[in-house]
Amino acid sequence: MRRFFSRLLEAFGLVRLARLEAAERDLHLAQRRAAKLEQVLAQTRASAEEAEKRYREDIETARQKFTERMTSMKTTIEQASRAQTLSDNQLALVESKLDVIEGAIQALDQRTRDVLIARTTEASDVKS
Amino acid sequence: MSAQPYLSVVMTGRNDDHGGSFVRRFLNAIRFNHQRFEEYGIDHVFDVVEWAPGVERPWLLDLVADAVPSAIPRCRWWLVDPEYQRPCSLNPRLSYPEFLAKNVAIRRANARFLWVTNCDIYIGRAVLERLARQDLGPGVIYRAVRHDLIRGLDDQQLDWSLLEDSRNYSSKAHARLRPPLYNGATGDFVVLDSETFRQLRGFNEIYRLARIGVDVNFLVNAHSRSVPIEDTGGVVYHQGHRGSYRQAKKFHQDAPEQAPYGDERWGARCITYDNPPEWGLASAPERPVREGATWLDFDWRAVPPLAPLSRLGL
Repeated sequence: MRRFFSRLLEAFGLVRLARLEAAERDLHLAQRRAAKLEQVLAQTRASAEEAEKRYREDIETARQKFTERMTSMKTTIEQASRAQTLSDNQLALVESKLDVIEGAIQALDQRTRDVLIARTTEASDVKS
Repeated sequence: MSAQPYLSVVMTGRNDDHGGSFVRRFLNAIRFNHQRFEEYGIDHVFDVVEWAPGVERPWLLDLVADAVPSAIPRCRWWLVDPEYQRPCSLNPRLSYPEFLAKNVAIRRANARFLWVTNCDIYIGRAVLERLARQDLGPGVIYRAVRHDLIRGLDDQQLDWSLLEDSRNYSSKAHARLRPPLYNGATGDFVVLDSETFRQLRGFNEIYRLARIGVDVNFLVNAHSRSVPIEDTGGVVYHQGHRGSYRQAKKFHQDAPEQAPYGDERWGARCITYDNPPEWGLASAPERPVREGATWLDFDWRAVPPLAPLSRLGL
């Protein structure tokens, strides 16, 4: 009998009041859930945006620190390179001066020997 | 030739077959360059220093008179007494202080510009054109690329078609000159006005232990004194021969300190120098021996000091 009555109402596009009330309750529940989900979504979105902002700020800070450190290291390397070039050049200068001194000593030694040999030869010529 | 020619070609040599077939290469270079200067109308003179000429072989001057008589009126010859060789050298293996010899001519040359070169270098066309235009400025060192010619070319028939054919080049080692020094085969081409050359007091004659590197050391010294160095954009050609530095280097790579041209590892690329005021054997008594030829007698007062270390720097 209830089934027949329900079918009759359906034929006219109607439902029973109890069913209507249950559907309205379901709708209301779904709307509340949707609102809650929207709220959660908004919170999550805000949180994500905040995280992204913090992340970008962290990245930028890290990048700045890295750049500063690289610049500092580059300056240090350049200074070290200049110092090394200067030391190399100083070393080359000292070595060149030592070469000149060595050459001069050898030349003086040879000149002295030439004189002494000539004197010795003269003396032995006189003796004989 | 005018009282002050535009260009002096400063060369040194000795008739002792130095480097192999020396006389042939020397005469070829004098002939070729003299003829080209004449063709281009360049008022030139050859200031040649014959270092320690012996009695057993003829002077190079006489050989030039026989082989290239037309060049003789344009030759000024400086013959340096053989007695200078030993006291001037600080390295017994160096038989020939090439750059001290060049300084003798640099000090005495009276042309506006000096081309300091070696005995076997042929001038190129682009350089000739610049010299003919007389567009060189004072206080600037001019450089040119050197092309090494392969051995075995007919050096009696040198012409532009032969010299400018890249198939006849044995090396491209000096194909580009790079700033700031534009060095590379520097000893074959340095052109500078005589006044600045004398202000710089020529090549290093304090470090008299090597011939190698003295040319680039001149550029280093000039650069340190803010003398600009430029590439002319031209080339010169070097006659390939047995006993050249490029070949000799291979033989001495294991013992560079034994090399007859000195140890190439010296500080030529960084040290500077300030030659004493008497550089270029200024105090050597000069005695004319014939027209255009002057003999520099030996005198201990002309010998450079042994070790003026304060004149070397950075």
